Amino acid sequence: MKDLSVHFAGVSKKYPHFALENINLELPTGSIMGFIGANGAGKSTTIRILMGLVHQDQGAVHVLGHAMPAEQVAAKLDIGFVSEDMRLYKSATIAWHMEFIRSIYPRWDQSYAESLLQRFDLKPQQKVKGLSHGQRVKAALLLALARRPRLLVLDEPTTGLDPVARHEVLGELMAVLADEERTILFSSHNTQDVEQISDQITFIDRGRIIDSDDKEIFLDRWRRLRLVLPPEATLPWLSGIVQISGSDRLPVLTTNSFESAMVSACHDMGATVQAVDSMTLEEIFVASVQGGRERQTV
Amino acid sequence: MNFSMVKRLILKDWYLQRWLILGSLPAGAITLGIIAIGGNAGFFLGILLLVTVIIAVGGQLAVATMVSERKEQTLAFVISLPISYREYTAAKILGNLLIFLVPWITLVLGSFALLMFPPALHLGLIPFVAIMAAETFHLILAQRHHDLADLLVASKNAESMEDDGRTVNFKKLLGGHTLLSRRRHAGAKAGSGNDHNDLHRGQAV
Repeated sequence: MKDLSVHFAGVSKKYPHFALENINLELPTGSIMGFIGANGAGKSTTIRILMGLVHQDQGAVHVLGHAMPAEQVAAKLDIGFVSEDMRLYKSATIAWHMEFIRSIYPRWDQSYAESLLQRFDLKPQQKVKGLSHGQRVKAALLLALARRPRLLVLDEPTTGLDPVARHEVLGELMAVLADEERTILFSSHNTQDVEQISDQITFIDRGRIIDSDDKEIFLDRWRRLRLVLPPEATLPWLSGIVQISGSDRLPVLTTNSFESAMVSACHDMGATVQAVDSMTLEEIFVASVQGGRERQTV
Repeated sequence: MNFSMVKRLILKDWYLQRWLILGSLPAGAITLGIIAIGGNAGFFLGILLLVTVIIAVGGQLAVATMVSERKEQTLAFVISLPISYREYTAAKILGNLLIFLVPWITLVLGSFALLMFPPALHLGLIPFVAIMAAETFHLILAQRHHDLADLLVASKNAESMEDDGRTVNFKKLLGGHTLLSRRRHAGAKAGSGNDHNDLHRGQAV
């Protein structure tokens, strides 16, 4: 049986103009999940349910073995949470925040906190109101990391950061991967960031999980086939095709379950396979979302 | 109830509001000075300013600790800590009350001292000052209740509201362990910005 840090089973939450529907999600301990969705897809709502900040209407949520939201206090002792819309107290210094968090979390690691201060180029006596957005994110990340959480939940932490700050934040996240017991849920609509650090990928759109898998398998099974069809030939039917673009004679097929047998099947049907292109995570995400929306419309 | 966390949150609010509280003390001392030296006009002006200082501090405290926490998006930071909404709400009620008591007690004691010590010209005003002090405290408590109703709606803890959706059920909110659970004061309507006139239309339940 898998050791799961996060387990959502049939979770739903309805708002007047948005619904999270039947969310099933498993995050194994020690893994880093990239949680990708467009703005308004339901990433933050899912994360708030995970944190016990919002109560689900249906379904069960377990985080680090604790049922949420009933056991949220015990669960949150082992969670580090950083959100793009989370702010620290403007009139207080970074040192005050560090002391405040240290007084709450028994596993607070002061020497690690000090090393992060140096690495992020933050001054403890700086007041939060004088920090740039990038520095505020780094300060929040420092407060989350130095408490040595078993689960790190990052809700779009790189949104609005300049390239240098983004690089530093991602670099630090890569460094914490050395701790195999650390589990990370990283939500973003920036697929490049997610691709860099994640080993699991989950796509969410319009309140539904549309795909979830190991990153390598994900990148491996998505391909784009560029075909040339002879005059008056029809496009061969292949299973696993999620999108068809291009012209009648030069179609481009996007598949989410590529196998080498697909190429020979195309040849057998008279088509010439010009190229089999691998896809970036961004292309996969866009194709997944568009394919999912087309299926919903049909 | 995790009292240790409640205590930490109260200390946090005390730290963040310390300049407001400490600033109110010299302001109150100035109003007491005006009462002491200003004759009849100074007395009435001083009393008016004193009441204004107490109400302003109480109002500002509520805004700074509850409304601003939402407006400035620090609520997500606090709620991500190992606390429940119940503990957070308890910390807000107790914290606001305790912090407000510091300037209130200081200024009320200052007023009584001024009236009782020579030249004791205003002894007949002691009941008046006592009523004014109690009434300002009552008003500030009512304001807390009103802000709390807004806070609960915002924090998705609306199950702690009364059935009328306008007032807080403290018994539900604090699991039946509160002195306040049998008392209801203001008819505050959560989410409405135009309900200050309801503050004294409350009823005991």
